[in-house]
Amino acid sequence: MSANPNRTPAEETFVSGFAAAEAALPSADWLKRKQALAAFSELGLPHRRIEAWKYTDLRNLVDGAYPAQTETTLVDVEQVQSLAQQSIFGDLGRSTAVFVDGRFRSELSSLPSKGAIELLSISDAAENAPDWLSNTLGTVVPQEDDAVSALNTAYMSDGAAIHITGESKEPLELVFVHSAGQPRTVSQRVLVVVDAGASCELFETHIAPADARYVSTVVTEVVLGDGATFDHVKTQRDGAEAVHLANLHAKLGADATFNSFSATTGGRVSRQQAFVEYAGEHTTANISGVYLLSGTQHGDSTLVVDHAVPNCVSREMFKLVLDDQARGIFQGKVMVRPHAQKTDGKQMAQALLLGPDAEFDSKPELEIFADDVVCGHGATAGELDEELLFYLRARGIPKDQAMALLIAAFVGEAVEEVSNEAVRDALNEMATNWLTTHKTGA
Amino acid sequence: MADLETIERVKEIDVDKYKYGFKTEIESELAPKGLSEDIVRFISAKKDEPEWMLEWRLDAFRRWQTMEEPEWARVDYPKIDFQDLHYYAAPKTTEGPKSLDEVDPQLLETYAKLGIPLKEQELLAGVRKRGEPSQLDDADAPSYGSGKVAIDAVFDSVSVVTTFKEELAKAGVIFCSISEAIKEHPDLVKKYLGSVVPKSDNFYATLNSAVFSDGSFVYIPKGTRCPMELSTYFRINEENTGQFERTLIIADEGSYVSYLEGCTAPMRDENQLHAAVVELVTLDDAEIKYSTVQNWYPGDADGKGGIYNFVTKRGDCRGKNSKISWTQVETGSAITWKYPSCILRGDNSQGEFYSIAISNGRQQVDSGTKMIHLGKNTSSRIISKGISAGRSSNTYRGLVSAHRKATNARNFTQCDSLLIGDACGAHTVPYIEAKNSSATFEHEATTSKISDDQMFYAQQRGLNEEEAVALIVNGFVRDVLQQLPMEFMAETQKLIGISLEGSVG
Amino acid sequence: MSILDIKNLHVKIEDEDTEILRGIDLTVNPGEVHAIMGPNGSGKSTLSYVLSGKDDYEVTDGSITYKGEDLLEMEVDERASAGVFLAFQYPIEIPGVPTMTFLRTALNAQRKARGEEELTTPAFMKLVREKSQMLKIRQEMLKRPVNVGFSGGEKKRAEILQMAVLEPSLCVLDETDSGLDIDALKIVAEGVNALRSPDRAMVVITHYQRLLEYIVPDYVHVLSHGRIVKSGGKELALELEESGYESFTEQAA
Repeated sequence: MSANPNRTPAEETFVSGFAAAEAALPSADWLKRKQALAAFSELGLPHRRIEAWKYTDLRNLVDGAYPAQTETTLVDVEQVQSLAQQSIFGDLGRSTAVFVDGRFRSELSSLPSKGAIELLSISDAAENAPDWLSNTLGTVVPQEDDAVSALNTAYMSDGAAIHITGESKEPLELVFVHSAGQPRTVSQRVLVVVDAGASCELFETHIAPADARYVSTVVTEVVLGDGATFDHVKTQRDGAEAVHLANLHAKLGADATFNSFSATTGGRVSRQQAFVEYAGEHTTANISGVYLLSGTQHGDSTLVVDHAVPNCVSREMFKLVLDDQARGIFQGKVMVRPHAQKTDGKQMAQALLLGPDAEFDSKPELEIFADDVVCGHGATAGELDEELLFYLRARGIPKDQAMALLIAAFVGEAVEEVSNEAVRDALNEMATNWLTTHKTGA
Repeated sequence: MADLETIERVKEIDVDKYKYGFKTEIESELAPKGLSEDIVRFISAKKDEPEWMLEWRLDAFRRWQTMEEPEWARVDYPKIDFQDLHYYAAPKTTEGPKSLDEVDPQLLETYAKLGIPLKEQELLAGVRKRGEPSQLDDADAPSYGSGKVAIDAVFDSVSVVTTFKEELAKAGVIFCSISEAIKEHPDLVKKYLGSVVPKSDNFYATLNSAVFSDGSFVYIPKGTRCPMELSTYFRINEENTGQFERTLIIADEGSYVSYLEGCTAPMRDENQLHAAVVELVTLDDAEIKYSTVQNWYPGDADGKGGIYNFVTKRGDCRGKNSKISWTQVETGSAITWKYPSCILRGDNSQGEFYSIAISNGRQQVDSGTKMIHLGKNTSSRIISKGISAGRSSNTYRGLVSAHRKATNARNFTQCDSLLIGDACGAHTVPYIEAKNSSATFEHEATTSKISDDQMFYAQQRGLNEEEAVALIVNGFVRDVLQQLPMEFMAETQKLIGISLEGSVG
Repeated sequence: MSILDIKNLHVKIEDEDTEILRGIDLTVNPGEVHAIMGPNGSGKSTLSYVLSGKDDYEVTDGSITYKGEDLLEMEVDERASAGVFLAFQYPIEIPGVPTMTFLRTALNAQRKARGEEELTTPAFMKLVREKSQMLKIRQEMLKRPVNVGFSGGEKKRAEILQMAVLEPSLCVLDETDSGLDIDALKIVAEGVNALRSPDRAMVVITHYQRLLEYIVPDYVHVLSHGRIVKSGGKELALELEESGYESFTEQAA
């Protein structure tokens, strides 16, 4: 248990705080908290000498103690509602599940009417969990070697468990709100089980006031049955002081379609990892994202796409716009296991460097053990093209507006991957407005 | 045409596919097995080195003792027992050869088998006239392709002969063994040795710094275009021997040199260690073009034997407007661990890396480059072509980095992998780090197999499967082949065919 | 009042020493079309870039007055909103920005800068449809990103379409004829001629006399080594066609 005698204050708090926190957390054997804590105390927070965390040294970046949030907080309902209303999905017909400081709030949510979607609060369901929840949660996540998952499992206070049994007509939005207050760690879990042939459209919003100091860990597990479809769009607009650590683990059946898009503008530090594993053939996974970072923001996107079976397709398209001293990181590994023939994997990560001291680090990786494959990746970094800017300005478009237009055009290629047109429009608008928003601090 | 020749060559080869797998029966002088300060002193004494060199080696040795073998590369091999190796082996007869006459004829025969033009009678004559300005040198010099090539031949641990010294001396070019340079040009050696690859740079480089036995030294004076290609041939012969050669090339302001390096080793069941260090320095407006054809013994089809090739090669574009270009053709060795790199320190300097890495059988390759952009307006270009066949593993590992003050850094990288057969692996691990906004980096990588359509087309025109593969692979690596000096191009095309022998069907 | 008044204009490229324009004087009045002809490297394109305000060029002496104001004090987009339009020799491709979005953004930005109301979407659509028909531009082309995948002729037509939509006071056409076949040239010239009006002026920069058969100028100026070495009426273009630039350039050297 004490493999690491030189724990940081954050690590020490996580390890030693568990005994006191445990009683206040939802309890059930299948949650396997103790094993997870043991794994975390072995691992500690990842640091730069661990190859996968070379560019995001959490031991360094998680500065100071962030005790786990266990209790429900008293919150200003109006403030929460006004934050939730900033969701870019607000104009779309959708049901919502709102979580405040790590606890589900039914009074702020509008749950889907009982039908093809079943949504449970993990905390509420812990004691009488249906099989699809207790038998699945934790099975998609390899927590022994991932400190974020281990920490999340040890401390998760709540989250959404979603079971889709048919075609859900209405999208569902999960809203994770954080309030200002003492520094703390909030750990939440999402489980999505989409039965064979069923489909699910899920939105996710993370939002908080600028000065809220917290570490947010979110682990999402997705299990797609054969022929299932999953469309996921996430906006990460955490507070400017926040640390956002998100893991998305997906296991895909045959003939399934998995689309996940994330737009990141928030957080002092964010690391969003996606691990996609193919369990059946003829499945397509499309992971895309946009990072719009300024100031000293640090945003890391790390993907592992594991082609374990033949005849599958993977596409990744990431666009990063980095202003000021912002640092963007993209790591993408495409693995093709022996016998996973006819794999088609393509990946692209592009950074637009606006600030002279902006930094982009990229490590796209191909690991291929089958010969009949078509795989490729690309990575580019560069400034805004002065010629383009001149052309726009020569037509009377002011500089800021011209830049906004070019930024939206740059990220547009990733936004195109989102299938819902109304969501695409909302994302484009968000990208177009980003420059003025961050320049004016609005 | 060249492709058809390749096929011919493949057919000529008998069961033993490694053309250079003969062993030369030569009596050698061996240092006792194992590594200690005494061995380091022994090597230094054998070479009659000055005190400062011995101290340099001992310092490296002490540092090495505190270091651990790196494990990050995608290569897998049993732990090396560094105490079970000889760190010095020299052909007995070659203690300071005064002429080729004094060189063991067996050795010359070895080089003849290797296809080195050293074997020529004309050249023997040339050596005989050593020290005299010779017309013969010019008239009857062995022509190797279009131009003349001066050769430094390194056999196990020592340099046995360097040719064309006089003619080079006329141009002011110094081309000799590093042992000789330590004695004859200590100021240059002191100034530059370890200045690109510091003596404790990494585990293998540090080991090399302690025990390096020989290698080549080149100095091109200001404003001089080296009048001919320079070349070193390395050969490992002795059993249980590590080969640790050290090469240092300095191109002074406004100079140019093209340098070729070729390597072979006999077939042996044991693995042999080769841990070389190559340092290149270009001052203002200078250019070095360094080409390697590495064909060390790769081991047999079951992965028995073969060379462990753990090499540190680095060039420092120290001056403004200077350029270093690495071209490598890696077909041999059981394990290759090698990243010829460029430090683009001078403003407007340029770095290039062109690579063909072929792995077959049980070979493991982990190779690539580092382009470190430090100066302003620096540019680099990487073209890497990996071909994996058999049960081999072939990894491209590269770093392109622009530091904060390296404004307007430019890089273009193209990494392509070709897979032949379903039992091999091809991996691409690039690191791209842009630390200022004016950097423009473009990286592209693809992995695929030879297209069925191409194969069908070639076969429909009458080529058999193996011929078709050789043809298509030669097309795949074309961009890199074109970077090789003419002399190496045809040879390399043949080598590619030979290396892929048995990979299909 | 003149639309454009250039006095003793000297221009060099930033960080370089050689002057490209070495004392240009030119006055352009409303309703006039001036052709500027000259061999390669005479400074023609530099003049067009300096008029539109491109970075990298440094005015070392002289002045440019546009409708009584100091043009050199204005930003690129301010000049455009004030009515200075440059039809680029090489129109640039802007991936990801649909032509329609671009046109609407530009038009509304200019209107806003002039204190006018933004055009409604239907009114804008109507305007573009009319203008594009005249230039034989397919609606499908307008949905594509600006100039992306356009042929050389399509790019030049799109430039003139922008000019027609934005209705500038001073049109600078930089080698609009380059890369056009005769049919495309006619369409472009028709589009340009339709825009000729008593309160609008044009500066047509070209290497060849051919374009001037279709866009007939009021004045022709010969530019050589950064100076206007001869000015005259439209007949000067024909003279040039016969005798070549050489007889003029000698005077300048």
